[in-house]
Amino acid sequence: MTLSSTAGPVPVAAGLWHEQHVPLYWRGLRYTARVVRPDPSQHVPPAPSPPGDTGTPAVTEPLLLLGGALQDMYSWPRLERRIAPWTPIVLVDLPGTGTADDLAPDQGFDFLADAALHLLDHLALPRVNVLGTSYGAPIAYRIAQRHPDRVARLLLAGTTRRVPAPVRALLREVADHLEAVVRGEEPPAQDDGTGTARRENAERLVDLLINKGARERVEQSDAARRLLCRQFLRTAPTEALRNAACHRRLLGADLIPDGGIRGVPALVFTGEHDITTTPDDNRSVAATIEGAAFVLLRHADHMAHLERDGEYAELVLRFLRDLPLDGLPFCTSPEYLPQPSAHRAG
Amino acid sequence: MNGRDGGFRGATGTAAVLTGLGAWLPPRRVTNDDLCARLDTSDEWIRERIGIAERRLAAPDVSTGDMAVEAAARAMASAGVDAVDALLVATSSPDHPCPATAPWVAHRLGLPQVAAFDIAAGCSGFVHACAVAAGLIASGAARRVLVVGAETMSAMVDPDDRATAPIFGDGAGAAVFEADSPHAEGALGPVVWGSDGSLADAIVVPAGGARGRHERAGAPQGDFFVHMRGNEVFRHAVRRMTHAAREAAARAGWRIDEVDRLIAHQANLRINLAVADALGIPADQVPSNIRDVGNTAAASVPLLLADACDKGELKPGHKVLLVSFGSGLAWAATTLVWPAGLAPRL
Amino acid sequence: MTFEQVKEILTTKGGLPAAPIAPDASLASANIDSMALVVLSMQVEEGTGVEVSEDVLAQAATVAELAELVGRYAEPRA
Repeated sequence: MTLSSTAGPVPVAAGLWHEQHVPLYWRGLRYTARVVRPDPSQHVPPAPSPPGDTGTPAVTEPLLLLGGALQDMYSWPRLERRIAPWTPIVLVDLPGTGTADDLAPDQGFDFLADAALHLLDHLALPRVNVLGTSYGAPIAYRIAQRHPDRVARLLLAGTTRRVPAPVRALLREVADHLEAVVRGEEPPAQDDGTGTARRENAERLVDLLINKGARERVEQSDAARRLLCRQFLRTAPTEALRNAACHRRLLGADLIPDGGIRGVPALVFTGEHDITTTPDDNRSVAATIEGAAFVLLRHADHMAHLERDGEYAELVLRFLRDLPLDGLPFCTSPEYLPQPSAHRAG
Repeated sequence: MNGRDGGFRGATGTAAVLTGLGAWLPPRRVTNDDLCARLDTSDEWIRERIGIAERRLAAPDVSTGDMAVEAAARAMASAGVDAVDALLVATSSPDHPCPATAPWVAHRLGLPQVAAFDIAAGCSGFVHACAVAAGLIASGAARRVLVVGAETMSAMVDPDDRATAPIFGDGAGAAVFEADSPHAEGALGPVVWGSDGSLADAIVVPAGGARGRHERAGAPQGDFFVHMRGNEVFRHAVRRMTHAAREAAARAGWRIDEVDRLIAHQANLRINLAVADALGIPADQVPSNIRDVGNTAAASVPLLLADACDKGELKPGHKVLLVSFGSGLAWAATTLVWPAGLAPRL
Repeated sequence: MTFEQVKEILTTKGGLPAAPIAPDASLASANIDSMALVVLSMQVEEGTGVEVSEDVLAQAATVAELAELVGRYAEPRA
């Protein structure tokens, strides 16, 4: 399922970027990575430097992007075109998402982290930057926790240690509903998407992701809402089952395993109006990572990558290039949280 | 526990039970007429003498290992497993003389560090590998074994040799075996197998190995391809397969008239009809796919199992007799009762 | 609606860089993704009250065609 393309995979600007699809298997499950880099045969206009960036473009490690449960490897064209001039982006449909094989419901984030590491091995990338958003964050966290030597920088967006109770209840209901539709116990949505339980269900899920109360303060809130709603109503039965499995995976044991992370520069961020994973939820994850910076993007919620795509990309790029995060007009000043003693470097 | 005729019966009471089947065929179809453009032969002759209408040939950049990965992933999905204890690749066209193809296949499948090795028993390789899998499971060395038969025969055959070029095709099939009771449906029965190295040169690639290496530089190009003495092979194949199949049925405690299906290596339609006739099994109980895929050597038995199961020619409860024969000479036969709920992935 | 008007909406409201948005550019090479199409269709609805689905807009092969499509939907029918 794609948030950012309506008519199948829409590649990044044709001609400027070179994209390579890499077929992979992990434990027999087929999945695909997509590597986007500047096309060496084309003249790529220089990327605009972020304000205050006077230095030469520091080369940074490739960026492995692990997106959300309702996204796939084509969901990030806006981030791609802003990051790819600086470093290759590796996107992936991990098992259970996008074009990949189904993942058994009893397999969780450990399996997915192993599959992501296998991908890095296959691409012969010893060290990468990792951005994990939402469902992708627990995967990214595990990679950095187990292999800090392979993660140059860790970025987590829209994350939480544990899905809060009201969200859990809703995710469970949504998953039940999706499965019921597939089993034929509920009518599918009409073409106009009106008047069905499915429509209501889609709206509930969107209400979980988009902060209704902040729609005046989030400029693109209505567009993001409409995009998500359409996407949910268009979901094919097989996709619905996978989505249900992804939702249930989020209900499992703690999303963020104990033990914290040390020795990996990290940034945790989300939209200031995020109700899916609240600023405090995100803060609590940042507190488990030694030295992590924590910021909130203004005028955005959980869907910050859609609502403030330019600012989102700039924040990511600044962190990847070790530029200061202070004084940015579009986000809060970085907070550095005290580590619980168990997580403090010893 | 060797029997008088080279058969054995599982010693520990643990059997190898078939739980998954996968198949992969390259998309390129080559008809007899396509071949006749190059060879002095005819569609009619090939159909009548060998029973082949077309075969699939792999693209030049597709190897035995590549096809093995495709079939193996499908078999794992069919069995619903994400790990195995051992992976055996039966092939007579390995990716390299050294190393074996299986470790690379395991790596590619995302099965790191699993025991993996090749089995070279020519066209009988898959049934031989099943016997090895049964032994590994019976001994407790493995609980779950992935057995692949994969061949790029187009790499082994001289396209200008009308004695071999029409016969062979490319493809891969795979099966998952898991430890269970010998009384379970799908359990492999006693194996009857053997060899006759006095006829090593009946099917042979004369050059490129250790024997005769001092003459390698002067060897004619054709000596690096398969040579086959067709009439002699035909006679031995009928005799050895008939005998091994009869013995395997007897050791399983079956009368020949209780056998529901004979699954024989697809070397030549007339060989199989002669074997069935000698055994007294009606031709309509002898599934065949040679017309569409040719002789795929070690891949032929798993490809036929998957095809026949998919078409409903193998039904749960069927008493199935497997028999194969190939270069070496080597032959093998075993039995199983077709299990319920097996859904091959093609 | 003219090409220039569509381009204006895509750059000011849709967050897209202006340079790749040329009349004969494909939607992909102009960076026009589904979020941009949603923004465009919402702007058209706001201005004219006519609903244009982004699925329809996605059919356009080029930006010029997109502008033509928007125009056809946004203008009152005879």
